[in-house]
Amino acid sequence: MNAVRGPFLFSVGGHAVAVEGPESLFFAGHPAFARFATSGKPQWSVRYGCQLPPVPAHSELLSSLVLGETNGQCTLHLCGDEYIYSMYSSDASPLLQMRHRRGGGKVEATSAIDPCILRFSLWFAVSMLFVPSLCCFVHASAVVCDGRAVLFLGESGTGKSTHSRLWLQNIDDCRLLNDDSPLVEVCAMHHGVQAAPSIGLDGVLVHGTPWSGKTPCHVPRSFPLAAVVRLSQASHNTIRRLTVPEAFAAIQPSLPPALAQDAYFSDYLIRTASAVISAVPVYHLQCRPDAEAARLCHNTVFLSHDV
Amino acid sequence: MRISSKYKVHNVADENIVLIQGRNPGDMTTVIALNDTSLFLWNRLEGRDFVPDDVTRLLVDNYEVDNATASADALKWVGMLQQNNILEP
Repeated sequence: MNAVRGPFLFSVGGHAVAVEGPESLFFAGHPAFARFATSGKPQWSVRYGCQLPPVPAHSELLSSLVLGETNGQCTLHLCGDEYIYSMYSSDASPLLQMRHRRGGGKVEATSAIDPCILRFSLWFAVSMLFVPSLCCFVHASAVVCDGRAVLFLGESGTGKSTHSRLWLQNIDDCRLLNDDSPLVEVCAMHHGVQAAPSIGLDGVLVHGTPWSGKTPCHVPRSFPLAAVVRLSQASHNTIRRLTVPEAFAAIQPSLPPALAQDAYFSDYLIRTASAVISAVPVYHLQCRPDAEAARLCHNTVFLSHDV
Repeated sequence: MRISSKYKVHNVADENIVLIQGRNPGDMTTVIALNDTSLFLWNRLEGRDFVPDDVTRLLVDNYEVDNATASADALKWVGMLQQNNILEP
């Protein structure tokens, strides 16, 4: 008799997701995801092992992006009110497809074996599910100092992880929360929006997640956001608080790029960014990779009187 | 000319922002902040064809400004939209 694999339930920042189908075993056994395991009632589900038809020819192509470092491709199509996300290898053979009906609580996906594909697909599925709740992944490195989170943004290779490490080495009472993809959430107290279940904190929160790039930092905790800092490499250390339009231009490229191309998701992403900018200062730090840069940034965020 | 229907004004932290999304990951995202007058013109002209004289007329009719100033401001406003590829022919 074949055993039926039950769903794997995990929770990020109070949002519980059920992963169903054969691939649930992969996530249940994965050390990053196991740390977020929960027994609560799931609000969302991602079901793998579905038989899904090819992308309809009349679908609207919203986004076409390179898949990681593989030179494969990810496309996002919209067919009626259904989003279809497809992943292809570099020789154009299909790797995985997912479908999500706008406003619904579930994602259906085909099967896959490659662990990278599975991890990324769940990340994208969760993105689609959470964004309408003003909760989105941000491409950032996140540290926590004195009980509050600071996000470091920048293109890949700019030095986000390096800057976080400099904080850990030079600032007291500082921990790494996530090194690639923390979840930022605008909570129910802001803008009259019914957001995810309260976990006892309000304002803008940063949640640790099972996705942390090359750094195994999977912390199932949440902290209020203190500031956002966009980094760029320079021969000097200078920090400047950004105006609202500058802050928006600094944050927007770090939001999920495929979803930003769709008007429905983009609207929620913009509302999320707006709440962040209203709640906390956003800075631009031009810096060297040195201790002085970390101290300048820390002192500006925590000791200056920016509100 | 007309304002492309691709672009919307968003309220971001109480400022009026137009987001011009780069199509590809390497492309820059441009953010334009509209002041009150610029927003007024956008709201009155979006969804319809117009020429610079229409902009001048709106400024003269709604603000205390003479024709020459309004005309110069109208050209600047249209120029800003053109520079950012917001206009359709």
